[in-house]
Amino acid sequence: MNSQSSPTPRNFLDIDRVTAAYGETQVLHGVSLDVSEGEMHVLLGPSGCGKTTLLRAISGLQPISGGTMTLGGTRIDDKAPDKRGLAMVFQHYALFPNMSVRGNLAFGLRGKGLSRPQIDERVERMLHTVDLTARADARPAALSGGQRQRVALARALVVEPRLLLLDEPLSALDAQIRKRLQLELKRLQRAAGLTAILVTHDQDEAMRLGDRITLMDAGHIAQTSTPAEIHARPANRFVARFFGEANILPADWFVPGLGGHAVVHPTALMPAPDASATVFTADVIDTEHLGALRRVNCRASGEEIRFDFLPASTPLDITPGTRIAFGVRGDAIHYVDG
Amino acid sequence: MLSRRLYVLPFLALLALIVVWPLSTVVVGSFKPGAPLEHYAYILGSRFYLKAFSVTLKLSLLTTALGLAIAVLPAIALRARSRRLSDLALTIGNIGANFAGVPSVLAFMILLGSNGIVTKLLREAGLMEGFDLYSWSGLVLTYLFFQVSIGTVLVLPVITAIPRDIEEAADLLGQGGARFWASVGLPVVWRQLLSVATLLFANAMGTYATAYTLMGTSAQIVTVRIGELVAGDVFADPGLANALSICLLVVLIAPILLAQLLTAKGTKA
Repeated sequence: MNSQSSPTPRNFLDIDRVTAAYGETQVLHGVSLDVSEGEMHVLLGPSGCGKTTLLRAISGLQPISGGTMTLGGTRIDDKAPDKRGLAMVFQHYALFPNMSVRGNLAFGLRGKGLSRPQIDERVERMLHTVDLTARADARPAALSGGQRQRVALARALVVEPRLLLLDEPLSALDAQIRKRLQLELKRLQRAAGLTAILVTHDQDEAMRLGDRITLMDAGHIAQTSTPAEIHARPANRFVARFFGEANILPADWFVPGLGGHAVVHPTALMPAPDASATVFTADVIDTEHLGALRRVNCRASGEEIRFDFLPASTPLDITPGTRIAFGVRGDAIHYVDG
Repeated sequence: MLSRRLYVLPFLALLALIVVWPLSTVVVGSFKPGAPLEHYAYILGSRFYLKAFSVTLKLSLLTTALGLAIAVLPAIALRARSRRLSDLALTIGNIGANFAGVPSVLAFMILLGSNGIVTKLLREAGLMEGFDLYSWSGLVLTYLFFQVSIGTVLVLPVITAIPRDIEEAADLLGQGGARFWASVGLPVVWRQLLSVATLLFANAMGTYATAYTLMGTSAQIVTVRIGELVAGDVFADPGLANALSICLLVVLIAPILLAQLLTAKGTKA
């Protein structure tokens, strides 16, 4: 056993140069990642980027071919999945269809040296926490998607794991229930002070839930940052592109002679008050309504540009074919290489 | 709507020709003119025929249970393996299922008969004393050959279809392996397994060639008794054969109905 524990481990989960492969295909290329205690850490990325493989590697369901993992100072990569002190919520809930809600919760507590009354007490408490006491005797098939999700979460939490793994837990739900459960999930995790890793391909969910976000690309980590930071200061073009909306423009539009690209968010563009403030001019192609915001799609020197403004506070009369001169605040531009 | 219903006509015609017609002939033929129930009374009063029913039932139930158990375990083992290995098992099972009857028994005779290759080798090694292929054990063995083959073909897809993630969920909760299969895996598919068992049971009850090839008329099973009454030179009695067939049908249908009743009840709960 590895005994590199320190009195106050800053990094609760320490993933060090982990590699994994499916047959000949290398899926994780030496991934290193630290997760702090009590943190909700989101693994985000397009499908096939390795985020689910990384989660499964942490759980032990996916064997790794190299690297180490420690949890709370104890090495876990050489332990069986059930000896790692973690629990997982699966994408399709993976509830035991032949058992009631109560049975599903109690199943993981069997064989843990608990007495029957102790198991019952913990199950009842958890049922109360996720507000499922009334449905305790129902089979999973009789529950709604949102209720099943809550059972899956409760089944994972009732074993009191040191680390909770969530594999796209909300992706099978419709938008409204999803938003409500995102809040609920975050509240539960905060209240329990639980360390959790959540996999998602949905950037809004990542922004809403994550204390920090790790964006993955083709088996590598592209960036690990807080939601605000990763949005405002993407590490490279891939990260900037992934958070879909940003304008990625040639850097020399802003600083003559500078190579690479400038990342400018649609809300950071402003119609220039006069010629001296103008950075570029663009032709309006069309406009769309985004709730309170108005999106203007334009084109300048072959680049597509998205510009968002609040019609309520900025009265602008924009029709397709209009030409707009844009200015940008210097501190709203973020430069990336390549 | 009407034209679409017409599509079923060929099927219904064939059903009438190959099931309803022969069956009704058998039913009618089982009643003796003048003393309609005499054949049935004779069967129920005959230790010889009752023994045949009891042996057939025992043989069918035993080889169904063993066949199912032997098929389920490798199906569970193959789940964790590559798809290719399961396909291979399916192919072998299919071959076995179609190799049943006379050819399989001949193969058993060559290997395990009185002068079989394996018998000789094992005797020289001092093993297999007292084993006789032409006996109850031989019947069980040869029946198992096709029961396991058919069982594998039918059980493998059932076990494979159990979602992988619920097994992983149990693994992570420390309830993997045998505990998972006992508490979740097998209970989840018990209805399908019961259907497979019904099929294996019916298959064993109706088997003729395997038993007859192995032991001739000394095989104490119902189909062989029917066979000798139909084809026998000395004892030919088609009326009694018809009555025996109907009795076999009843014994066969009772467990099938029971199984259907059980699964239907399970669905409602």
